[in-house]
Amino acid sequence: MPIRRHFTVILGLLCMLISTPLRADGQVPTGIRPLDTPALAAKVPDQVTLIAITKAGNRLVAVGEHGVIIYSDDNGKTWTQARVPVSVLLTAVAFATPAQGWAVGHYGVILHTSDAGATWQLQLNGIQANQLTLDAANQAVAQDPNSEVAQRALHRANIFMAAGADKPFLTVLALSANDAIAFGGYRMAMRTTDGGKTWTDWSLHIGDPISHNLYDVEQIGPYIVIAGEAGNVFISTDGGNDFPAVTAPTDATMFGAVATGDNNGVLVFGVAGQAYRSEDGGKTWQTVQTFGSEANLLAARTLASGVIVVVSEAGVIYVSRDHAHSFTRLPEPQKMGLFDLVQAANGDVVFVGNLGVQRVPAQDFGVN
Amino acid sequence: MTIHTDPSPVIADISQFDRKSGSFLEGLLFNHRPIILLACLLATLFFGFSATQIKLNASFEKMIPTHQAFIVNFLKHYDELQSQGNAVRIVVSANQGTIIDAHYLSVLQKISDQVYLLPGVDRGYMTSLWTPLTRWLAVTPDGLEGGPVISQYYDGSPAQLEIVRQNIAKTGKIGELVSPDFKSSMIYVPLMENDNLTGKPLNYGELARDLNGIRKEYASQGVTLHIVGFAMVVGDMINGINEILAFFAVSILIATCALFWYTRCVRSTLLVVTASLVAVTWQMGLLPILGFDLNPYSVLVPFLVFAIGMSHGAQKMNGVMQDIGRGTHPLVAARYTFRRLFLAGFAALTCDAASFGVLMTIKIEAIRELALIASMGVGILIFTNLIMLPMLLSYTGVSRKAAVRSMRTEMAEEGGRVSHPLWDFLDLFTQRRYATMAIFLAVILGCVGWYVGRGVQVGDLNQGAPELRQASQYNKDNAYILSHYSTGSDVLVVMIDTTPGQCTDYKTISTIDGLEWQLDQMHEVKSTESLASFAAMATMLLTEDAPKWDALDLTMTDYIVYAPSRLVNPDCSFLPLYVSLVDHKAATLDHVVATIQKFIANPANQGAGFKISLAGGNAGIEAATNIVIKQANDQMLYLVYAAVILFCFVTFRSWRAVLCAVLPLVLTSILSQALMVWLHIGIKVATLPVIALGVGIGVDYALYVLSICLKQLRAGASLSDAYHRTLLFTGKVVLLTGFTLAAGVVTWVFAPIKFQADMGLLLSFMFVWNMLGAMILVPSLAYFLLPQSLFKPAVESQ
Repeated sequence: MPIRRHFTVILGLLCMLISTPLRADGQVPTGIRPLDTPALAAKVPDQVTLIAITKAGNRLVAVGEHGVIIYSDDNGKTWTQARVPVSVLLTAVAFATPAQGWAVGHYGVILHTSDAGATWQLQLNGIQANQLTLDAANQAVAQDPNSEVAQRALHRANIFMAAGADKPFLTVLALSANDAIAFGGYRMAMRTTDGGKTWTDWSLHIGDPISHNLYDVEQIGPYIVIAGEAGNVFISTDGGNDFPAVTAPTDATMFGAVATGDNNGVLVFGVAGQAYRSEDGGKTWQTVQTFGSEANLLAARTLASGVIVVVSEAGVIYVSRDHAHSFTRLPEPQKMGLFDLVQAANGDVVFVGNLGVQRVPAQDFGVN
Repeated sequence: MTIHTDPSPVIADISQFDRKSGSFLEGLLFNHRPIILLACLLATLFFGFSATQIKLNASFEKMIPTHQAFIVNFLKHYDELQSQGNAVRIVVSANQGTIIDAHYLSVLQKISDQVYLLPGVDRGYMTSLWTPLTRWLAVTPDGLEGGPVISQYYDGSPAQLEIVRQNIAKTGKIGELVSPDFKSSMIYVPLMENDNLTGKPLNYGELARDLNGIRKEYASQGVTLHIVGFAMVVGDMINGINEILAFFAVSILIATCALFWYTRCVRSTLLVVTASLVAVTWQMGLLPILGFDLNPYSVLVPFLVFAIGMSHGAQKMNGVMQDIGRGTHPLVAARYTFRRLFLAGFAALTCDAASFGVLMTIKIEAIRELALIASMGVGILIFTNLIMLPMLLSYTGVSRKAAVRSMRTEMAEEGGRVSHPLWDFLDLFTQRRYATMAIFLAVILGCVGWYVGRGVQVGDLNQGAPELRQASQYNKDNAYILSHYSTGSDVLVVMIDTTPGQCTDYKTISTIDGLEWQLDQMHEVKSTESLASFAAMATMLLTEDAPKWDALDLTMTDYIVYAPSRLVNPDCSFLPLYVSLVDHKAATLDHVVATIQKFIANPANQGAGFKISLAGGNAGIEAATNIVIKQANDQMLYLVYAAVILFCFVTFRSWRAVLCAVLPLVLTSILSQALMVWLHIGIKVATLPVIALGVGIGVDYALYVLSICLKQLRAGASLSDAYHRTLLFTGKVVLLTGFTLAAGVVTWVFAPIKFQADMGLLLSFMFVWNMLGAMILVPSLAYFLLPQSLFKPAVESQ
């Protein structure tokens, strides 16, 4: 049904490619506005919708709507907006070293920084990502034309090509200054081992016969855990080469994963307050039932003290002091939906959400 | 040099007077006095009766430049943007606790129902927590779902109240429909220009009274109402008409007393005042016949007509009194005065009428009406104060005491010049040294005034309604709403037309998204709303409410069915982008409009499938009005001066005299603009005509002074003598009326309505400066422009 429309889009894109000159920074215009438009200076950059936050050394870096990336060197008191060549919604950010990091987002965008987040360069867009997906599928078919997996991959890649650059990256893992993997919608996955000079399709390394959305990737002890749509959880035990599916704890979407802090335990959480913990690498799961809320759980982090903090879209903060066996709710919900958090160097916890940044002193979590 | 250069011999006995002397017109009029006066009486009765039918109202549409491109676009989409023009916002705040309260909600329902039934309310688009248009939208296991905020199952129970609270959160309209602190909620009341039942124009005074009545009624029920909107501004002004009129009465009283102090003659003072009031009566009577209403802004015009009438009437009366004082029969005196001053008066009044008339070139209905009303008014003065008044004086004469008083002056005059400190002072300006000084000072003032006046702004310079005082209920309400709601009362709508059915095309939506985001990042913008931001939110909601999907998708089809009707029309061919502004200051509107225009002009933001255009919403209308006013302001001044120069030339037949008359006026205009800057008055529909009216008043003074002076000069008098005679004849009356009218209107600064106070200051400034211009600058300029050598040959040739 939507195929004809997709062709029109592609046709439009082709026309654009032919008729439009190169951008000032050497990028080829795509005809997709957010890909072709650098991020605007925001009125109050720390009050726009921010989706993810992380640390680059002692610097805090947060990413969000319309290509906004902000950073703070005073534990979140004051923020500066970074120079970003695109204005897509950015969904995740990760640093391998204090200076080298990646941010990913919609329309297949992968951005890279070498200066701790002050300026960003585009390494990949959705049009290129589709081509890489097709290349990988073609290669798989060439290796074994009779493989059903390879044929499905080719079919999927062709649909991707027809749909255009519409797929977002939703999470990114920086293993080293050279090695990173980005995951996204419809099982889109890209890996680099040369600091982002070249990217390779990694979607065929994920044990998912259907193209699910992959929301979060976390390194937990020996595992690299992916939490995804419809309860799909994938765990790599070989440093990120293969991501076989583990037992699904639920059929509800899991938005994130976090270490429980004991026995290589993994906590996954997601839609409608659901959360599950596993101490056997995802073979079996126990339901964690102390949330008492229907709101989506969106992110979690372990503080320096070992306290695990989980946040919800309704602005509620949950803390666990017993390795995620049980959680308590902080009495006052925040006045915004909470999307991610990080502990700053001074111990304060800095949240991001639909209204920007909010700082909560460490002692509010009963620790210093 | 004596007064008898004027061929008007003293004739005490009427039988010795040649009835056929004087012009044809004079003969025609004065030889049929009973008929003409009877006609005037009948006309006064007729118009007086008609004037009782006059209505005080306002019209939103008439304040709008309907031809301007923004408004043309807006009117094209008027049906789709029904609720985005003239509207009243009512914020109902709970005195205690929050709005999630059974008592509050039931009071709100009663208020909502009562407002719903008021005449002129566009009921289909009215919104409050209780109206069916107010819906929530949320993701459920079955997809997106929506419903009214207060459902049919609502019963006031705690469980149902909790549902209401959740529904409100799901509307995404916190800051728009309810305040973020949950202490108040908004009733949005769009208005129609015509009463939906009777088809009659909306009666703003009544509407404001009704709303204030509702405010009072519910004050005892634990809620406070805050009401803003055009309707409340003009409604409050209309309902304050008695105060406005009271201040007019004070001004009239002051002018009357001053005139009596000058003449010491009850009879003639009353006649002058009466003649001016008769003119106002005729003018008021004409309005209902022509189908005009008076509005809170044009209500000043009748007063101005009165003021102009006073200055002309006083001249006539003074002339008659001087002749009677010399012993002339009243009828002869009246005819002499008519002979001497009719032409100057006629020229002045037609000049006024023409200079007001040029305002009609401004394509804003309210200004055109005002221009017409003002022109008519001064036209009427020709009959009442130039013709009827001398005729009445020819019957009544003046009091004996006054005549004797006047004669004393006359006796002194016969001996040559009257020595009086004021006359001596003014006489200095016929000398080179002082004339130079005066002109030098005027030039400096002009330069400073021009420099300051460049800063004059179009539109409103402050938040709220500048017509009303900052401490007024209205401006307090406005400040409350501004500080508690993200959607202010100033909304600009950018309109996007698309190919029918293609409103969700990616290029279109992403362009709107780009514009919306850019506008969002302006300090002048409080919030924005469009199908683009809705689409991003819908994509997120349809993807399990995951914030990582809060963005546009290349293919958007599913969400369109959930889009509220205010964001897209049923044809899928029209998308409004609502931009809520922090205020409607001229600078704010300018910057936002310029930003949008720059965006539209960029080829990257253009596409075959869509067209972006400005502008609807009350702020869009105001921006359009500002643009028209800005153009009109210069154009109006050029035209007014063209008219004035033309009439002066016809009267004086000398370009030098024209310069003498017009240059002081220019100074007044320049200084008036500077004064507007200083008083923080912006040029808008209500204030634009004032400067033109100021020129009109000023030219009267200049004409009376210069025409007499010129006559003397042409008869061979020295400038000093000519000016001295002019002072004694017309000059002192110019002084008198200039000061008394200024003293009258300056009392308006105490008026409760700020608009009247501002106008009072501006007008008194203009009365005084025009008078000073005529008394000081005219002789100073004449020293250089009208040297005696110019007239010598003419005298010799006689």
